[in-house]
Amino acid sequence: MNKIKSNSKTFFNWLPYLVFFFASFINFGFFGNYIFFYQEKASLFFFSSDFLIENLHQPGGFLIWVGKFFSTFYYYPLAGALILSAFLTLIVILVAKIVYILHGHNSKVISLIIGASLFYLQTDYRFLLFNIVGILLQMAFFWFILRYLHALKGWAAVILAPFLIYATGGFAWAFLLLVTLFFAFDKENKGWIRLIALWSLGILTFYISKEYLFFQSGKTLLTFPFSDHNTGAQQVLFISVAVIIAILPVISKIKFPVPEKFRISEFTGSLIMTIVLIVVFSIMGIRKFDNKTKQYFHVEDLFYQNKYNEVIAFNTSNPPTNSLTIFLNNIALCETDKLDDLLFHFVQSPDGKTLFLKWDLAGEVLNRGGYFYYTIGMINEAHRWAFENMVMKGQSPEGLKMLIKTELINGNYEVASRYINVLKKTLFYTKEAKSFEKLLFNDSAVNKDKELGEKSQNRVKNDFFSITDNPYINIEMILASDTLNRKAFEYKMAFMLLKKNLNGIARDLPEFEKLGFSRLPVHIEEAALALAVSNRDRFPDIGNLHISNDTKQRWNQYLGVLQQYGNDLKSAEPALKRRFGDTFWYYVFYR
Amino acid sequence: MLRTGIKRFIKQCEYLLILPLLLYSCGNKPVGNTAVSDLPPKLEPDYSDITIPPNIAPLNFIIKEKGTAYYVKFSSGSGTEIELTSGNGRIQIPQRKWRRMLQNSTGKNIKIDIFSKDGEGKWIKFRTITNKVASEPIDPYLYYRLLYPGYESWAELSINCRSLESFKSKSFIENSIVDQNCVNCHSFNNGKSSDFLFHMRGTMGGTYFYSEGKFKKINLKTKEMKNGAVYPRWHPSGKFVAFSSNKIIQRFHAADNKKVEVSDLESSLILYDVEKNEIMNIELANKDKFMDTYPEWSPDGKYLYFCRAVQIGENYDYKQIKYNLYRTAFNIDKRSFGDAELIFDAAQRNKSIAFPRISPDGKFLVLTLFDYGCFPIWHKEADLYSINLENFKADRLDLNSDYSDSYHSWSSNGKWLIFSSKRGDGLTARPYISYIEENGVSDKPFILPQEDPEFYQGFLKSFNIPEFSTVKIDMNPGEIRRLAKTVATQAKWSKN
Repeated sequence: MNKIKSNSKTFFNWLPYLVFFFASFINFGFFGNYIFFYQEKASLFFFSSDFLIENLHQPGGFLIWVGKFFSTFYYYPLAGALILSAFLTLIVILVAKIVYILHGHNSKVISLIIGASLFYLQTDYRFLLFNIVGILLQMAFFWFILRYLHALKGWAAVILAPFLIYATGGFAWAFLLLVTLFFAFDKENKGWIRLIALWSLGILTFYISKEYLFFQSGKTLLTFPFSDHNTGAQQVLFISVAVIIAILPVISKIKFPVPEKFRISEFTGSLIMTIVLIVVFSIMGIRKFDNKTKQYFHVEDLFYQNKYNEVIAFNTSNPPTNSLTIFLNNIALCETDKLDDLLFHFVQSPDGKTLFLKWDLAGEVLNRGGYFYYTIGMINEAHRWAFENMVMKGQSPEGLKMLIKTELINGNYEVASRYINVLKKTLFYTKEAKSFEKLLFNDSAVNKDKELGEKSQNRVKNDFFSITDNPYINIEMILASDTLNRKAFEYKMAFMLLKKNLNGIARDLPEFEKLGFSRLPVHIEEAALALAVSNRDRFPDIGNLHISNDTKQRWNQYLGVLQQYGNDLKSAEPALKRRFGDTFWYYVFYR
Repeated sequence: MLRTGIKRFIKQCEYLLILPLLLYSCGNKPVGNTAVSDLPPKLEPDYSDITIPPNIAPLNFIIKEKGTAYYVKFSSGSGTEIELTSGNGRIQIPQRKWRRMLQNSTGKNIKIDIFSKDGEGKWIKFRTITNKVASEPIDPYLYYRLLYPGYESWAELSINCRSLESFKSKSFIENSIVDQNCVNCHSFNNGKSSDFLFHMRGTMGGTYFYSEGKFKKINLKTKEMKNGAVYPRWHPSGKFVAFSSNKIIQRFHAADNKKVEVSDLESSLILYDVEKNEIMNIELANKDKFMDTYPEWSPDGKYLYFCRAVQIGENYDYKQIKYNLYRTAFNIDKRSFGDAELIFDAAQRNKSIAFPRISPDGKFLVLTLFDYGCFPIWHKEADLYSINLENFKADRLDLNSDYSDSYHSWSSNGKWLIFSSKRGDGLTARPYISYIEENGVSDKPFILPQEDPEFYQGFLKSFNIPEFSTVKIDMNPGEIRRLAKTVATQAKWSKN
């Protein structure tokens, strides 16, 4: 009987933690799983001692290494949710344990508030895993010292501090504060002696690091790897949570006197906490869920897998407003020869921003902009974007794959082999690395490869200097010497459509036939019909191609609607948008 | 320093993991009948048939032959010196034994016998490798810049100092300490290795001069100068530094395998008087009609050599820019220069040149010869040529490869030449060392040895501007940081 009672007590004791874990797991595993995609694609973990050494070049580098190690499992979102939820739950449990050791009472409330705050922070996809690991390590060390090294009367904390500073960098501040407050309240064992020793050693560690060991600025040595950028611009909240954790020895001393009549049993407390947790997590999950971001990452995921038709289908049923999503969608359209058919089915930016991205070393553009060049056959330029991204932001799976693909297409097999060797050191990309390896030093295998063969055939062969500041000029340069590059031509026409350059379109209409088009793309037909009207029914030269009956019919309907409104563009706009919002005709008048 | 220690510790741990394998293979020595192959064994890096310095670090390598066990025997005139076995073909030579063997073999040959055991347990002996140990040592230190062989951006840059007698390597400066500013163009004084300088760009910009254990930071750019000071060369006296002052542009090829095109739009030569802190134009007749760059002093300090091309106009064909080698006499007392004298007409060969470097004895000038322009590191055809300064005859050195072989530096005794070669993959520059015979002929070069013989396989950065030095500059991060934060002393403009 007692045993059952005891088991039941244990269960209810652990219930809030279990609920915390599962609430977090369900949220991240099934709703907020896009954070794993972003973080997994943002870096790479290599299973090599050199990679570890590379990361140990400054205090806090080890933490980055650990963070990258676990992030590599984000390849599978459910594994990511499991890891992340386990770490968050461990922090919650450790906080509760620490409070219990320090003051002998259970304090699930504090620990769960801390856990919920970290959960909230983590719902931002830019909040990198090492932040959680950093906090977890401080908690684990402090708990370990309290639990097992108490016999050393706290000297273990003093001795371990320099190692923790080296391993976790700026995160060790939390540990130092925790230990400081612990010593400050430890009057029985003359804590102040250890306190002085702790800070002397801490300052000495910093001084030696700064003067003799590391080539970092003082500020970096004190804060790295913590940064506003890597917390998703949530540094105020994150620092607040870290401070609460660091002053646990003080907070846990606070006891609110609860009148007898309001006291509840542990069982009831656990139940209430469980319900509160479910409510809090549900609210936070819903409030922080970013559907736009989730959709973007889904599109990016499909895009990286070359599932271009799925990209288009998804965006058709979930119309994007994000210019990066539309940029990728336009590439998918071009890859499937539909760019000038479906361009206006999606909201385009009249300045061309959705067609091509301008060079930017700092932002999120660098790792994506090169795909446009890859599609139109400017393989060197695609390589440059991927390479510069690697230099500025480190290696990423898609970046490395782009470097391999472009070097294989260019026949630079020795360099490709070097990148393949690097990719082989990862956990989840070895299969792809091995398939690339089979193409090494074999032009015919490269040409037979579905993707690389096509790109190799379409690649720019006549040299010129790339103009990064004006991507459109590159298209003109390609077409000046390679008039058969269909993809570049499609982009050229798309840009002219966006710019409402009817004269330019009229000039290039005969090119469609020369490039082997069996029909004119829909938007080009629309432009041709509009051109005829503006040229007083003189139809532009389209060679042996013709305008489809469907487009002619729609054009007549369009004109009919306009006439219904007395040719008043303003009053006709809602009706035209409803029926012709995805046409060049609508774009020309209303965008 | 700390990083080297940690690196070694991690590597040791790695070896502990494979210890059982090593122990297993320790008993694997050829016994009984051994088949003999006429072929030389494939080694990576290729350390066969080379001349090596008597003080070089162990030349660790991997045997790229199929086998289940390997046995390597190093022997010199005094008998077998080192025996090693391996289960995976990685051969890492104990430093102490290696050092002792080289000491015993100075001026003689060492022989390397390599055996591999096939799947059936039969041993094969490959053709013996013979390497010569030169009598002349190599300078003990190598300075180089580590960076990605990329385009225009950088995040991490460092100038490193590597001991050539061991594997110890230390960052001399990393740009993370100076707000990620670019650090470049480090240069030693050939005649006096303790004179050293490097540039730093950006917020903590300036030229950092090191002499007799002290650094000073100078802003060489004055309002009279159109462009900043770029490529430096120390006068052997240590009193002057000649710089080129260039306006450089970078462009990117859309289709060419070269990728990057670096050209000068304009360039001229300037002279910095270190003692007087004065900077001045190097006045040469009709200098406005030319682009002068890459200065180099003769070891006696009486001549300044440089590369010269016709000044380009607004519309120019970058492939038609050809630099020739010139020199001008220098009067150290008057700080004046004579007429420019053509030494090597590369344009006549439809070629261009860069990086003239004169041997310490003044007998030979080695330069990079390539198709056009002034930046050969992206030119696959770039090769090193040696010009005999007694008869000005130019010869292609034997050390060249099918890829870019360019930036080079002489050892202080003039017997060793280190240069950047992209022969490994066409992209990443690696330091290669070659012995230079009395007659200026180069021996087969070998890559800078590394403790991990597989090091170069996965290393994506380039070794940029390798420079020999006889001194180790002991600066710690704190000193660099303080120095970078100081206000640079402004150089004074002088007409002469």
